[in-house]
Amino acid sequence: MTVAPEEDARLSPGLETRRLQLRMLTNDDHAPLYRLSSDPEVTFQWRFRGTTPSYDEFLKQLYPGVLCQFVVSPHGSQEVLGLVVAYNADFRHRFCHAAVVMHPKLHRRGLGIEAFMGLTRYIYYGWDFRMIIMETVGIAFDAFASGEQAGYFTVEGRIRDQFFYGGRYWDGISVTHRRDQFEKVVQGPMGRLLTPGNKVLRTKKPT
Amino acid sequence: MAADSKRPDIMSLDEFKAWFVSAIEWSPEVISEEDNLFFDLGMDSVGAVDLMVGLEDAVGGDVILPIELLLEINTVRDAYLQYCALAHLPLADGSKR
Repeated sequence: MTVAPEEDARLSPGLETRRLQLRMLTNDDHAPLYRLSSDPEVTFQWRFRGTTPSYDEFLKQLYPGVLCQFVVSPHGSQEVLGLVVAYNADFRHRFCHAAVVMHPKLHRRGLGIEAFMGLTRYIYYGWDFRMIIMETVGIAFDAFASGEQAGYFTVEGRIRDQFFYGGRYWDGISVTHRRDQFEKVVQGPMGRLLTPGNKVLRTKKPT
Repeated sequence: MAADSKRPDIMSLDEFKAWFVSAIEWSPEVISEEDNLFFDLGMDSVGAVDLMVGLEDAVGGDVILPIELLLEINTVRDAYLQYCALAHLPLADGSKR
C-alpha cells in the first residue's frame, strides 16, 4: 500500500509541525522556561499558579512524572515559544495527562493547538493510550472552547469556581482528547497543522 | 508552473471580505475591515486555525503562513494584508505567482 506524502507526514512520529518544531529540552532552555513560568499572563494558569519558586526549585519540578516533554520552537530556530508535556502516564488504564504552555504573544493564534497536535501525534504513535487528559482553567479554556462543538475534544468534568484568578473565580475543567478524536482531527482541516508545506523564501509584507 | 495555474487571482479587499464570510465558519454574515478578530468577531485558537488554513487554501494551499505574519493579524484588514503577502511570496522551487 502506498501512503501519500501528506498522509505519511500526519502519521509519522516526527516532531515537526507546519510552523513549529518540538525539540528536546536542553540546559539552555531552562532560563527561558523559568522566565515564561513566571510571566504574569502565564503563571496563574501553569504549574506554579502565581507563586515564585527559586530557579533550583523550578528545575527540580521540571522532570518528575514526565513521560515526554518538548520545547516548542519555530522551524530553524532555538527560540523558546513554549513547552508541551505529557505526564502522569497510567500504563494499566492507558492514558496520560498533557499540558501546553505558550508565550503570551502567541495566545489565541492557534499555535498552541499546533504544538499540542504535534505532541499528540507523538504520544499516540508511541504508546497505546486511549486518551489524553488535560486539566485547564476556565480562562484558558475559553481560548479553545469552540473545539468542543467541533468534536476535537470532550469536556468530561467541571469544578465550579475552583481557581481564583484576575479578581474572580474560574471553573476547573477536565478535557479528554481520545484517540478516535485525534484520528478525526487529522482527517479534517486541523490535519493541515501536521503536514509540511512549501518553504517560504521571504516573509516581507508587500508595500 | 503547475502551482501558478492552480492559484486564483488575488482578491480585492471587498472580495476578501465576501470570501471571509463564506469560507470562515465562525464569521458573522456582515463584517467590517476594521473588525478585531478576537474582540469583535470572537475568534479563539480553534478559529485561528480555521483562518490560517483558509488563508493558505485561498492562495493555493501550498505555502505556509509564517509565524511572523500570523502575529500581525488582529483585524480583518490585517488578515487581508497577510493574504496578499502570502499570495505574492515566491516558493521554494523558484516559481512565482
